[in-house]
Amino acid sequence: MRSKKTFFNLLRWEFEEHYSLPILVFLISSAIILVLAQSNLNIHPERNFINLYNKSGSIFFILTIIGSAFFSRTFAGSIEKGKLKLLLSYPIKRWQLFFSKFSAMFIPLFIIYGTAFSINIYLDHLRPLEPLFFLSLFAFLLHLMVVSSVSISLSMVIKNEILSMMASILLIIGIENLFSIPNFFSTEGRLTYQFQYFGELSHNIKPFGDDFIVTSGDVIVTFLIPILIFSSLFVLSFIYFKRFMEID
Amino acid sequence: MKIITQVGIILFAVGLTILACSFYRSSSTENFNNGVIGFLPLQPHSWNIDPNSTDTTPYILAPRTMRMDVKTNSTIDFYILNRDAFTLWNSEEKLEPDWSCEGVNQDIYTVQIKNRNEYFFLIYNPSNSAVDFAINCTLYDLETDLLWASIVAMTIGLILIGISKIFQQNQKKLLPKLHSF
Repeated sequence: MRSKKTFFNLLRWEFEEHYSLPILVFLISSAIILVLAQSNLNIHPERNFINLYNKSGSIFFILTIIGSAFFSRTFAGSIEKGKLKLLLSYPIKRWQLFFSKFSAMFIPLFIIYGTAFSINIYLDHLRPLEPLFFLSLFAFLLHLMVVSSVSISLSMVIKNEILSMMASILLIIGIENLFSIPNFFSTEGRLTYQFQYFGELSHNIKPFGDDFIVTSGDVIVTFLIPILIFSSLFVLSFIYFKRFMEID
Repeated sequence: MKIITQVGIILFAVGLTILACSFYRSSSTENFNNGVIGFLPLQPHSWNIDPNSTDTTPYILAPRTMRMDVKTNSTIDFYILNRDAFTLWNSEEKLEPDWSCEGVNQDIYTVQIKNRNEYFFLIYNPSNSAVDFAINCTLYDLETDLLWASIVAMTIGLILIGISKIFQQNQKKLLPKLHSF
């Protein structure tokens, strides 16, 4: 019971530390601008779900930058500035600190960008329970999971806020732009497979033409890749943080 | 009180962002065409959409000003129907258009789209000969729904900030009285 209370206090403290008012306003405004600054390319109802695909690319890009900045700040920044040492001098367990930092960064970022993206349901006159809207949201979740795990693991190794932020941004954006779409290695490439498959399944329309054939196996791979990257990097970072990391 | 001020500031910022975005969006126009001159003419006394058809494609239009450049080689009757009106026409052949114009030959019209919805362009050929027609539409100007959303968000934000300021001032006035007491 007490450890639960400590965890939620840490969570609140992390949130207040990193999402103070000007930063929160900046995040919400940037998310709204990302959605509203893009025009609706398809004005016919049977193809308007493709607008979601067209608009998700910029969200992935901004989530990479903002996610890397926030996760590097909370992990590498706290090591660099000595906040972690100070916090661990209190009766706090390392796992509480790790998970509170992760949750306090991850949940608000996903809520802010997910909520802003839901404006598209109104703008594109989509069905409230449009399956491809939820697919896009799930893609954001998976992308944020990859960004967070890469940033956290780099923060553990580099222990410098700016350097780990730059390294994770360059690494993820580099991989995203290395291969031509569709591919299994970039988030947008994987979303292309998923839209083609679920577009045909839910709307009976192949958004990227009849020549591009996607099997259920391809779609499973597109979901498995980010989950595997996240789980392996996240578990390794957590074990390192809990058992091996020396904080001097 | 601090939370009310913060919510007020966030709402005001959201409204301001939507306002800025609606001005940005107004700088771009949306163009689309309906019908082509010299291709699939409309037969005498017939509609461009078959009643009871299920594969008709409407347009999703934003509440902006629409400029329509109508060209025909004879005359047509032209109706713009929303989803409900189209369903009514499809089932009972009863016309309740959002906008209509009969006996059009060649003209330019400006229509204010009321709300973000699906709209059907219904065209009737009243003459005894086949008619070619082409309608070029351009949507321009501010999207009124976004404008109203921004105004409402900014107003609520300002009201919340004002309420919290009044409470803060009242508390400051009460404090010296409490100390003297």
